[in-house]
Amino acid sequence: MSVWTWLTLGGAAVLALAVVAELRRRLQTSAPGRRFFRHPTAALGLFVLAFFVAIALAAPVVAPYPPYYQIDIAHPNRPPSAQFLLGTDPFSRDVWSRLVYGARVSLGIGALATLVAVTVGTAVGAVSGYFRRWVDTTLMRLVDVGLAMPRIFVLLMAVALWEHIALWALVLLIGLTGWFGTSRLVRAEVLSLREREFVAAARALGAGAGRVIFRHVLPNAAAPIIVSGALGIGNMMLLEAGLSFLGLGVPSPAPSWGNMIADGWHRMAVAWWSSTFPGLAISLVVMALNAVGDALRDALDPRREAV
Amino acid sequence: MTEPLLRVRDLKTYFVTEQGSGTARSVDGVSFEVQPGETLGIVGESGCGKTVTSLSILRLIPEPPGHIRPGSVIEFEGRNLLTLEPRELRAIRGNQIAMIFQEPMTSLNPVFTVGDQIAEAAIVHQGLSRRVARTRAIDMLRLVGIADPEERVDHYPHQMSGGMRQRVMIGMALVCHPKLLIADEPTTALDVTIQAQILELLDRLQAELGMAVMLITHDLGVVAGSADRVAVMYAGQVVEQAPTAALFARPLHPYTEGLLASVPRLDAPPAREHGRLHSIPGQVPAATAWPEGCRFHPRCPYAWERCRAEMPPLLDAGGGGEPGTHTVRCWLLTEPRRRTPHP
Amino acid sequence: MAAWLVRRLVASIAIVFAVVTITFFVVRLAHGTPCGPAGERPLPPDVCERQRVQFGYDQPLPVQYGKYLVALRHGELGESFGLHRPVADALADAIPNTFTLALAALLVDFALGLALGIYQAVRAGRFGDVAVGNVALLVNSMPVFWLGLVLLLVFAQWLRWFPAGGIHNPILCPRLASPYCLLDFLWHLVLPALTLGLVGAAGTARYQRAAMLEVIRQEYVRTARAKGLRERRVLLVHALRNALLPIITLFGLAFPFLFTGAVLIETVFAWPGMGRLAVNAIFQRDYPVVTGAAVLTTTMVVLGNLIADVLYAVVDPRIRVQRGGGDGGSA
Repeated sequence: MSVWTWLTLGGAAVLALAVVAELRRRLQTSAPGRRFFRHPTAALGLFVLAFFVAIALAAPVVAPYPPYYQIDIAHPNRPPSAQFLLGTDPFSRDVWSRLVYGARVSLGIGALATLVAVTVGTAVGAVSGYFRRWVDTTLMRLVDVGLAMPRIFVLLMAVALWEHIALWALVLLIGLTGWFGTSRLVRAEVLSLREREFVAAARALGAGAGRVIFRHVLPNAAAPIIVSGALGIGNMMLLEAGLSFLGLGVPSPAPSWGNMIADGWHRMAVAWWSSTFPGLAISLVVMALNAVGDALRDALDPRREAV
Repeated sequence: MTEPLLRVRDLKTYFVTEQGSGTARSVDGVSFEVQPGETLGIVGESGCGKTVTSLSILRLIPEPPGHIRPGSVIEFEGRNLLTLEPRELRAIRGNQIAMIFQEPMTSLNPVFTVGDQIAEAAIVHQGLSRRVARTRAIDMLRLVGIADPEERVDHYPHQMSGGMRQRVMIGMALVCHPKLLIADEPTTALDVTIQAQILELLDRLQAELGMAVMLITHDLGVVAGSADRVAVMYAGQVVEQAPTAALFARPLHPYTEGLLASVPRLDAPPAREHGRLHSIPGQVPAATAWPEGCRFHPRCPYAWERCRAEMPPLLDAGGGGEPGTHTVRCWLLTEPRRRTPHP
Repeated sequence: MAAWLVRRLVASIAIVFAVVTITFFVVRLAHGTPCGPAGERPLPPDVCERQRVQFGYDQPLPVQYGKYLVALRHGELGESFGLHRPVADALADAIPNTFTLALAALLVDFALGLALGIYQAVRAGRFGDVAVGNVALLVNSMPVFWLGLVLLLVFAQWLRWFPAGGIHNPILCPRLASPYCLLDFLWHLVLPALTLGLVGAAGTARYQRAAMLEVIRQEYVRTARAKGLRERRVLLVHALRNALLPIITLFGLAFPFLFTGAVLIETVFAWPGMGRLAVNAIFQRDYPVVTGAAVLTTTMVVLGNLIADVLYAVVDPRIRVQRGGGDGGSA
């Protein structure tokens, strides 16, 4: 770890702090914004997220070594030191560098898979809630089946039975197995919103179903969708980590936090750092996401009283 | 005069507000007495502190935001309730002093049968067995006028109408034959016809069981029919206290006057003051910022400089009977000629 | 009530049926037909062809599906390629292990979670609440397999308090033959059950706290106090009974979570349960086992939800009446 990498690391932390401070300042004027920041963990969570996103984006600068570079094959498993911030793994790669590059993969997959899930879930829920009758019944039966299947099982089967899975396919699969809950949520919101006058007004003006749904109904249902999205990213990341740990997710040597844990697993006894730090990173990010998600839920739904 | 059953002296209950707007002095020096077997009506608008007063008696104020100030005295049969040990206090609650609340639906536990909830007090305070307590519960249901009590005893609150639930609440409160029943707006949430039935029930039970009742309400009509004496509260204080008849015949405090005048009457002349109903101008002040001097002065038609500067104490209004029968917190008693409304 | 129950049962069976069908076709359509486990040496083509005929893989898919369903009715799940034994037998051996693990984890989960949730609600806003809340948030955010690794490291490796995996001492206790072996089994059960249970407890505590807080504010709690009841009774009888209702939903949700966790935990702790069986079968392309495991887990999940629904109706009299239990009338 050279001075330069330390500097950029510090820079990332400062940047994250600045982002949070700026957000806080901007949001002071709105009531939901103030409610959001009333939670002490919300600001902290935002900071953690901003920090990890910053180092992921700045990976080439923050990581002293390339992620696949094997430093000294004869002496793997070096403990954390000044040179190797988090030590080296059993393949003699710098854990910190891989962590930083792995952030890109894990965060990216989590975010994209959530995007897929939220999109599909919202679409299905909106259509189901708006059109009702047989469309609703069939779609909701599908959702019941989807919810009944143990998700990791489906993923395991799907991923393992097709030989080498491309990253985009992995993202799609994780996303497509995770939209069922969101669809139920959206459906409930749409069902109640469609009875409101502004929907009737829009339709009286000749708006087609799609326009009504997109421009009028969904914006009002945005709050629970956003909250479920924020909380969902954490779940997706944990799922990806589990798959990668089993060897079915992101393929080595490309680093993801999950497969880093797998790499170091069998050497845990002598080199605990290889597996511990990636797991800690996942825990912190997911915790931050949960904290932010909870605060968002309180901020966007004024009917809930915070205690 | 006999020893009062309940004596409240200078009760002060304050609440700490979270937004930092200061302390809400909801009850700010309230004193009154309840004699055995009598009905005291406590009347006032929302925000005057009457509910907080009633909750303070049984110390049901949630402690973090609220607290009863030292120096307050609440004596029941001579014992200061505020200094009792928790165990002794529990022996009084539900047993010697019972309380019923405004909303019977939310005040009854939805997952227990009404029979269980009535019997519970008997089991806890009188040590009855479950079987005997259940019989008592059925008796209570019959006493409060619920048909088919043997069946109803196993019903849940949501299976009953509002009026029946309130009767159940009354039954639950009276199962241990308390000496004092505190009824906090017992009929406010009910239909008018049911209101009358419940008040009648309370009257009957009071006569049968010989208990005292503290009836808290904003409705003067309720008080007129049921109370022996009335205490009018405003801004955390008692502003007038008198026997019911005297209060209605000769209201002395401008606030009481205003309240009585605000009640629409069928026999009133049709055109009164521009044809509109009378109302007291202004609004009830917030408990965090009581006005200086007499708290009613911003809304009082007679107010003069003294009212703005000095808080009047409770003054004796005389009017026959023993001293202290009719008390009023108003400077008009010292300068009656000022009792002319400002133009 | 009975009518509603029958409707739910029928719906549940339909769901299981749908899942079985989907699994069947997904497995068959992926990657063509198998020729023995992927780990072994590839078989010569004619042997492979004979295997295919033997296992019935040469017949058209709908026929295979039909035969599968018929066999399913008789409780036969086919023959495993890799293990060379009936799938049903392999599953029957593995299920009790997963079951005990899940049960132990559920116990830890709910005992700890409920206690913490109640504690947090009573101390709401104060230090105890905030501290427990943040720790619970952190634990709930951990990858369950990683927590297992860390616990293994600390308690098995460094402190040597517990064994480093497996289900029994293979030399002394190959079977559960004595009280000592029972103790040995429990000793091996502690760490994996604790891992699953802790993560679950963190989630349960959050739910329970919210439920208790909601209930404590209710007026019937004040009524209970006004009756002169002890505070403990007010909280644990009047409040808790209402706060438990949403927890029952959690109980139903716990099943899928437990299965997910079991897959990973069984791998980390080398616990011979259904999760590990399924994972190995997937790696070895052992399709009958995969299909059989899918059928079984879905059935369990659906059953869990059904039980949760029934429990809810039993505990909450308002729902019971809604479903046609009581007289539902008012006067």
